[in-house]
Amino acid sequence: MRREGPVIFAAIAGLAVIISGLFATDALKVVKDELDQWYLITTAFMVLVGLINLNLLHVRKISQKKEGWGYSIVLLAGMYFFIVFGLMRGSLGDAQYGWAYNATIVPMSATTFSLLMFYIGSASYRAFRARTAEATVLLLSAVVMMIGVVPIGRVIWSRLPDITSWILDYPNTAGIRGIQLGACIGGMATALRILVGIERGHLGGEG
Amino acid sequence: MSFWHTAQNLDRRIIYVVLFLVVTYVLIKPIGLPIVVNRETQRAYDAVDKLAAGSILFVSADYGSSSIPEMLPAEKAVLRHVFRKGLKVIAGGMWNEAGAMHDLAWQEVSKDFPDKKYGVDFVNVGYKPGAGVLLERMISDAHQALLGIDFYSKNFSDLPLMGEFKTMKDAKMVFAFTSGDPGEKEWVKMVTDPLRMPFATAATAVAVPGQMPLLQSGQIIGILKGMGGAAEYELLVKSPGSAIAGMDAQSATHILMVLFIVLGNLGYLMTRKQTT
Amino acid sequence: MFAKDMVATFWMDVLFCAAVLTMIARSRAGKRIPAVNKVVGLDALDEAIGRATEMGRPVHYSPGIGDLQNAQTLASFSALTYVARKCAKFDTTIIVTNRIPSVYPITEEIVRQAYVQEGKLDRYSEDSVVFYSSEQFAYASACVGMMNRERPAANVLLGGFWAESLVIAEVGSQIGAIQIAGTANTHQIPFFVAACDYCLIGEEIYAASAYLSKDPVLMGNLVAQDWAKMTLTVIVLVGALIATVSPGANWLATLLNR
Repeated sequence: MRREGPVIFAAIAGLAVIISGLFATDALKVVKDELDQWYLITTAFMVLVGLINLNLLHVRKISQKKEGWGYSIVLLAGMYFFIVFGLMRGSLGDAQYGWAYNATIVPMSATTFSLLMFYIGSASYRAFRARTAEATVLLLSAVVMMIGVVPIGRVIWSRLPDITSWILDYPNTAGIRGIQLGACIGGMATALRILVGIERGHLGGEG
Repeated sequence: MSFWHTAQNLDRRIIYVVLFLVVTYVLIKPIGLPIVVNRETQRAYDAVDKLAAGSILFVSADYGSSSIPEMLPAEKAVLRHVFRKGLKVIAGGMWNEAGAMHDLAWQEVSKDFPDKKYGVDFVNVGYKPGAGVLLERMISDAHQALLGIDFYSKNFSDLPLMGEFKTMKDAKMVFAFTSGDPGEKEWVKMVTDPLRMPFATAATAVAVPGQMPLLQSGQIIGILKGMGGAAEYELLVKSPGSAIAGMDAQSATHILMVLFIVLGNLGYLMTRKQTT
Repeated sequence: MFAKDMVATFWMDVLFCAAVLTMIARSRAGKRIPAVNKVVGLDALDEAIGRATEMGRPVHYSPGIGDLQNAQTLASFSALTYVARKCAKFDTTIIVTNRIPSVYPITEEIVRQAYVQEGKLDRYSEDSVVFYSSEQFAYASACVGMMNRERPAANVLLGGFWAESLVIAEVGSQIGAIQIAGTANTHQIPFFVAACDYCLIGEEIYAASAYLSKDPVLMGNLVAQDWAKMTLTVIVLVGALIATVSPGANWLATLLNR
């Protein structure tokens, strides 16, 4: 029952949601709304699971004085500061909590995101080599796109933005549509396998 | 080691340093390259422009603080356009920083529109959990779906604009600022397709190709493409901001990357020629 | 009876389910099912784990940053099961990093079960599976730090990835790890193609469970997926032909929108 129970529950819940989406039934809509609420509440409780794991991991690191244990203290201090401060002040809408958030999380997120500029530079330099015919096509289209989408592209050649738009509108969109269609079908097949109980990877170690 | 061998095996730190120096220089001393508005941005602008004064526009911030350079200038430009047209804005989002992003935009834009009042012309309902489920619920009862309080913990009953916005059907258009999931797909699936509502987006540059099928099918009217789209919108509303200021640096970065790619390929081809 | 605009969707869903269930029945009855093409990225998993084993360095596995609602995360669990069992079998350290708290207990259970199935529960370490942060770039930074410290020889990134993908993949490249990545998020595929050795594109990650286990039932399911794709391709071609020959005729669009 330990394995069958979750499979049966997933099948019933999944079918209830699917049928309520396909058919105009008030009864199943009530079930779906209730399941939606359960999902939201369960997801919120899962944050607690993550919190507990973070605590266990870093407290163990500190107590055993493993390499980098000082950073674990910083992490736990930062985490509990925001938890306590947030509980005291309410939400991001509070001026002081908002300030603390804007002064720390926002610049740190933006900084890490900004690393992408450097990484894309080194990745492009390394990857875009004309080793094969396909690689050459990739290289040429990447170069045309990179120049065409910025203002200097029009300065270099007035037709370049039109070529860029054509690449975006036709070959790109066709490829994206194909990938998205395939991915959607793959997702549906995965969901169907879970509903009928063939796929059990999410239960831990099977399927 | 020959020059060409070095050219195809440049130390990545050299690339990083040169990129940093060029971007910094161009940010300090802009070139002033002309910006031309493209048709997707124009379509988004025209869609907002067509709305009658007093209409409600739902603005969704589905991005985080990491996408501020691309998204926030676009949001500010759109808000300026909206306020000039006399439209009203309900601002929400499916990402947990939605409220904070709208707050940043409102704090700056409202300084230029002292006649616009919070609660009357603009309400920031902030982030509420649920993503697609939230949007679906907003179609039937927005107040219940949004839990009856705004980002600043004020009750909807204290905000006159919320009296005009009971369900998503009370909005005339949705404008979403998206940088990932949940994002435009949830809006199209749950709201704008079922209600046949005009929908425009501002997307980070990497997300634009994925939205092109929706644009071509007419499910999205117009897209502001990354910082370039934001710069074009700033041009259209005649309020130059950080997006226009950043375009020269973007041009310089792209050209520099192309030069590195060309150098690497020349090195590869010359080395291969020497070997054969 | 049907919800608005759901008639065509209902019938297409029924046809798809029928195809899948037919192939499952055929597979269970031992009937022949068509062979599946090689997926180079999935074949390379053995090579990557072997490399890590020889070098005495760990394997890093990330199931992506999507939540449990995301089919890519569910598909990633199958690949993790395979990778974890191989690592347990060859006594290779595996480090699984998680961004979503609800995904973490599942990946932990998968890895633990892998060690149980190999009879090596004593070798299982609780530090194998970690939750870093719910914040996207905090997770990316933590991964980068871990990769610089632990220097994994293999970096497997399969699941839903967003902007942090290039940060993790580029650092993996810098430390010399063999990298296998896959995502159905079209906006990140180019970055994986540029930075990784092997890249699974789009629905190839959904084939992982069938391809790696070689289970006939799952392979049959894969064939049904391909049938569905071929059917959609035919519909697209018919629609394109109609739009070219008779631009005003939209009976197909009307039929599909019913």
